[in-house]
Amino acid sequence: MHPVPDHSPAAAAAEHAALVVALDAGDLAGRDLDQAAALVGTCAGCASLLADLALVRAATAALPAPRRTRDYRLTDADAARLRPSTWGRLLEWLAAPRSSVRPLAGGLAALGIAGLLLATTPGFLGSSASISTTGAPIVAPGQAGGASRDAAGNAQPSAPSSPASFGAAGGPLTVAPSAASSAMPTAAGSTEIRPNGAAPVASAGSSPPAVNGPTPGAAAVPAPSLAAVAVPVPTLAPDAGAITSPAPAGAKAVPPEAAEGTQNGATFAASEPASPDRTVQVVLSMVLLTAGIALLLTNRVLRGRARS
Amino acid sequence: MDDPRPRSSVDATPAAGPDDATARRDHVLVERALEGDLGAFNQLVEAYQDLCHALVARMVPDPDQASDAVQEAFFSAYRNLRSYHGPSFRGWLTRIAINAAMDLQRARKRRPVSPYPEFDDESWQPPAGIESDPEVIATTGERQRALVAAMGSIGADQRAAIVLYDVEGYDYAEIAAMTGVSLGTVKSRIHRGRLALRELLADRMELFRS
Repeated sequence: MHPVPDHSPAAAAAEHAALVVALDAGDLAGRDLDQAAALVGTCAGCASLLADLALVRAATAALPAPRRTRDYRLTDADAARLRPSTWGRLLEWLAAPRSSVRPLAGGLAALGIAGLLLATTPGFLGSSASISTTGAPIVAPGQAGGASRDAAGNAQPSAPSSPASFGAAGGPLTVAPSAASSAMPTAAGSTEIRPNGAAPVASAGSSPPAVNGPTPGAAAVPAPSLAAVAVPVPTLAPDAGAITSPAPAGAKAVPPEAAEGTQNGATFAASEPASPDRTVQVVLSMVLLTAGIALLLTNRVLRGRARS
Repeated sequence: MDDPRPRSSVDATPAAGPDDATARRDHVLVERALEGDLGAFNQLVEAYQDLCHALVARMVPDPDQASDAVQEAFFSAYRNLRSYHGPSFRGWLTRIAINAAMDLQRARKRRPVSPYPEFDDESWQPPAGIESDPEVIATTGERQRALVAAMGSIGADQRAAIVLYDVEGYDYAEIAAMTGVSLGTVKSRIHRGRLALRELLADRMELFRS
């Protein structure tokens, strides 16, 4: 009989016990198996543990089945209570791996993205006036024939106190005083809206600096000469929400930097309220996109929960 | 080393091949239950309630809690019948029952209970077999009581793993799939559970050796 190894250190004892129990379960192979077999052969405690484990395991397997004391069949009331509600069926449909949720969600999202692209890409909608965001030179009202002037001028506010700046997104707009200008057919004090810093009313003669915000006393401000001036921004009529049509051929060219500034400054503020149809399209597209993404996410979350 | 385990009465191995009569019967009953036939579902309950109760009652020491867990398992099965896609209704239901038992044990704080009162009832005796010697019967009863008491004292996860492996005959991979843990964790739980049982029964091992 070999001397019994000292298993007093707790770690060593635990390690040996783990080896023995793994040996009993048949989970060892190779070197571990050899080591466990050697351990059982040399350690009386380990051999006793192995024998006890086998006895416990056999007794566990031989435990009689507990007797059933209840009938688990469902009653009609149970079934009615457990039957999925409409909401439950909806969730079930959303969570089903082979349901039509994913194609539907993908379709909705694709429609939404396409709608957004169409709505935000210039030229897609055909009506250039409503999406003139390119900073094309637009003739100032009353100039170069005045054809566009009529349209815009009719919509311009005629009272001096009319709101002139509505560039919520693009910053304050510059109001160029136009009172007493012969080029402006509207009444004195009417204002013409131009984006801030983008209204180089370059024309012959003195060009007074534009002022920010409405000009209370427009008549007191020297009117710039607007003859043959090309305004680099869409001219807005706040109450009508319209942008004047592009400039005729005779319009003076706009400096590139001015045109750029125009775009940065006021294009979006100017164009959005100007096209209600586009707004509807954007909103609709956003709704479709959101619905598609929400469906996809819901499907994924519910399927994950079902799997877990 | 030989595997001394009896093969499970709750076999998770998909025995439900296309030719399997039980699987076909289950499939038909599930289809009818999905169409609203409660009687069809109750036939499935009748077929599997003993099996589910035996499994859960071994995992949950408190008999009332075990019955509640089994009932909840059948409720859950009825509620989620549409999510059953085969191949084995038995395996699917067993998984639900195991989850119900585990959930119940996690949800309720363990309180000292007398597991399986039939073992405390002196009038109850194991089924008579070839070993009908009164002394053998007494020893067997005592051993089972000691073992059941020890089983009720180890951790719920270890107990579940031991029941599924030693009593029900599942293999490691099946238990890992059922309980949602890794194969190594299953092995570890079984090993630690057996060591704990042996520790608890150390001074009564003579009962097992006799």
